[in-house]
Amino acid sequence: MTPRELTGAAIEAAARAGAVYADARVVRTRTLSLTVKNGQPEAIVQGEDAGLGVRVLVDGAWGFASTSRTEADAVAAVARQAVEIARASRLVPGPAVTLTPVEPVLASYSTPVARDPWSVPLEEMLAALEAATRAMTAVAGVRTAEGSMDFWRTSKHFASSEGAVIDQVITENGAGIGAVAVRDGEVQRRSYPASFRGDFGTGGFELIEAMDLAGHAAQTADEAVALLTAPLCPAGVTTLILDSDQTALQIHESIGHAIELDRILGMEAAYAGTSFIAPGDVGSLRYGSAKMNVIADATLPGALATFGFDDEGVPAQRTTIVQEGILRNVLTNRETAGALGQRSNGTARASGWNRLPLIRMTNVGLLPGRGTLEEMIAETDDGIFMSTNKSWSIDDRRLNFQFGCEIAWEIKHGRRTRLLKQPTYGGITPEFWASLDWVAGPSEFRNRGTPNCGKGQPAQTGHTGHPAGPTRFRNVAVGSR
Amino acid sequence: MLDRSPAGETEAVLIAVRSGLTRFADSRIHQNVAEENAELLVRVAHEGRVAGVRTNSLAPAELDTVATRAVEIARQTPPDPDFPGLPAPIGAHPILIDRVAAATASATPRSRAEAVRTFIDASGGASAAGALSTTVIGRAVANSRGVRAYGARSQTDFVAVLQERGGSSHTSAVDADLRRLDFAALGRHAAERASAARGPVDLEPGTYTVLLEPEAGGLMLAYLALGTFNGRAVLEGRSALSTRIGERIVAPFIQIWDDPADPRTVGLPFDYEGVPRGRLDLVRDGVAVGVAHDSRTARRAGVTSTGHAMSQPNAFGPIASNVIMAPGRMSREEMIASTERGVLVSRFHYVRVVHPARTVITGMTRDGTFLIEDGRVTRALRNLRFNQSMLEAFAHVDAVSAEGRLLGGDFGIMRYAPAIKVRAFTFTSGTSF
Repeated sequence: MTPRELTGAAIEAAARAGAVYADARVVRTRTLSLTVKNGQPEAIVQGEDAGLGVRVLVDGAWGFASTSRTEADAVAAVARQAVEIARASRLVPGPAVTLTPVEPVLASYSTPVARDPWSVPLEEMLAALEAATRAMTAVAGVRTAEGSMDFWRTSKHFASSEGAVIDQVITENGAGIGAVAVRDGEVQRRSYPASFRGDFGTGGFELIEAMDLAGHAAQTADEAVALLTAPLCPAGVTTLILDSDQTALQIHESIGHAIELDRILGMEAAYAGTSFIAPGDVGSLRYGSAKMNVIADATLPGALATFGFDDEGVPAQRTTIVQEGILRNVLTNRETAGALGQRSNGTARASGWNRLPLIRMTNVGLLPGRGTLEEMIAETDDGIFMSTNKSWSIDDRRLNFQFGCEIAWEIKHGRRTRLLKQPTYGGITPEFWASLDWVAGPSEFRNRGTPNCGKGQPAQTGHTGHPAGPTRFRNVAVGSR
Repeated sequence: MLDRSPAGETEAVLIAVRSGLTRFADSRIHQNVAEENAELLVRVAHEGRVAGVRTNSLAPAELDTVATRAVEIARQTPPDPDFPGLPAPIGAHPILIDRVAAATASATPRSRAEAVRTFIDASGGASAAGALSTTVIGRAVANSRGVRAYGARSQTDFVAVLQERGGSSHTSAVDADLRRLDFAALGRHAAERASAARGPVDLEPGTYTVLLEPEAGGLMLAYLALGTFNGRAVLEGRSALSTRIGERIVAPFIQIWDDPADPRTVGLPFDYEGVPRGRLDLVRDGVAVGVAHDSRTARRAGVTSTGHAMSQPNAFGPIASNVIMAPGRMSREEMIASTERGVLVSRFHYVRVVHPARTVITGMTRDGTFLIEDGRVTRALRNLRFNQSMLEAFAHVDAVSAEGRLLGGDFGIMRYAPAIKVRAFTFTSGTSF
């Protein structure tokens, strides 16, 4: 059966069983993951994953069932199972679910790709990782050098009982390198272009080629070794400059999750937590300084969370979240948007055929300000510049956070001076963003990708994007751990 | 599939899962899902080159070609000099394990919903959020050297948070058998804790004696299993144990081991390479005595695999996934009564490793933090952030509770953890919420 036939049969079976609304997704994901350590292949794994998920509304309650089997009898059975599950949901009822309207469309979308990763010879990919990791191990003091590339091609077919039929092919990839230096029990790591397997986006192999992994290997390794003898980042309250990578994660944790309307409404309370934002705060809450302008934009070319339609068939869109420091909107789906008197702004995504779509960050990021990182440093009399995330933690309402970075430099009289190791900083979300006094200009902005965002029960791993540049904050508590 | 493989060595692992999860928030079921999936993981080694293919398409035509595809990938990779070869059978094969509880396997959306309703009805009217899942998982491992292992097990997971007037409480339960979970008792317990957590006050950050409930201390066991008792991390110099095997690392009365056969846990006694997994002592009388190995790390370390391989090929390394910490002698109440001033922590939230080699973690307390004064729990506290070396915390343990609990969920690592009293635990910031 074709994907269209599968979803059609599932929706028809669900309707016959009593569903007043049904949607079905056939999702096929092709993956390739390469890990090379010290010039040797460590894990080369190709994957294919496919299945069908059916979501239904019966008497105002949800049911969802999924299967990797796609024979005709299995499709009808999974649709009936979804209806049975929805009926069970009514045993512990709440207000009936109502979906905000969306125009059903027949549409398709495909990620623009200049060089298809699946046409790139594996030898070429592995040679690039081998060259980068060998260049790092050539630096005295480096114990382990790792390089990785990850590729996803996801074909999604979505259909709903309202008449939507949408086909999408999303191509994502990313890469990174890291050097670990070890001496006398001291362990330091440097990564490029970001930690935790690198940076990610939508597009073709051209994204990875532009990273020039081998060209950055020596500096990455040198910095790891230099950190072994660097002093600890001193504790105090000072001016803090973050690079675009760390700014991206700061956005992810202290803005992106906090503005998910399902969290705000308590739907994630048992696991990921809630939010310090209340529904009534939209339009009035001062989130940060007037320098703070935040958008959620699923249409940004090349960013990791760029797509044509979300997993409820809502078109990708750009939403203003924070304007000159004031909260203007949050992330919604068809179930929750009505609580704000709105229509969905298109953020419902599932990690695969076997998961329910949840509100997920799209490309949530800052709008650029002015100038460059070097100008920012030059205009800072006394402070710390931190780069590349190492650790992250925030409480269940998204207020009290602490981040650690791989590396920092002291800034004195407008100049980057000594190297500092194990830097950390912390704060309270609205206080921290209120101290934002500089966002760098467009030339410094990057679309950073986070492919490991956890949410939901059962657990889902989401891919989110974050337009970000270097940022400067005043009076931040810094130190080392 | 093994018979048709053109590879020199071939390994096939089949993972089949059937699960249902009923989720509730604001005391109503808001998400309710089911999944059925089976995935084949194929690893081939051909002329010294290694590659893996994963697929959940199990049609006969796919099975005919999957090993050939893996060989085609392997041919494009450089030789892997560290590949130790696939393991040969150890002990009697085939291994056949059935640890499926009928009640868990036959759970329905309706029976899960009724259990959730029982919990909510018993929880006293506070806003309840949580999830109940029932899962049956089967794992079959076969390789071209004769390994044949099959096991199936069941697991029930329940977690819930009650929120009430500025305070919240948490409860959880894990068991192979759904029938052993008493949802009414869980509801009453959570309601009592939620009531006690009302009206929290601030506490000045600093170093305190803490009583860590199993959920809190047990999360540290999961992080130690991931990055400290991981044979690969040890070999690469990233683990605190890279230079400390054989040394006393925690209090001398602490025993920690891994054992999937222990009745207090749920697990399968073989790994993703089909290597049998028995008891592995990690800490004996406070001394680091062992770490987890798969075939690859074992070869590099010059030892034999301990049977802790994750799905292969794998760059993360082996993980002890049925960790048990031996209970002590004191009751939880005696531990509180013996504390002049301290902090009772129900649960940690969003823990991350800040310094792997020193095992420093940071995180927040959540869903019930209390002040202990003169041997009694006197006040609810607002949440606190901590920065703490895990090994130093275990080195400063003064007492271990006689009763422990099975914990799951964190990275799939099952842990049996008692409550522990730590005489020096560092909170670095507070909150106003």
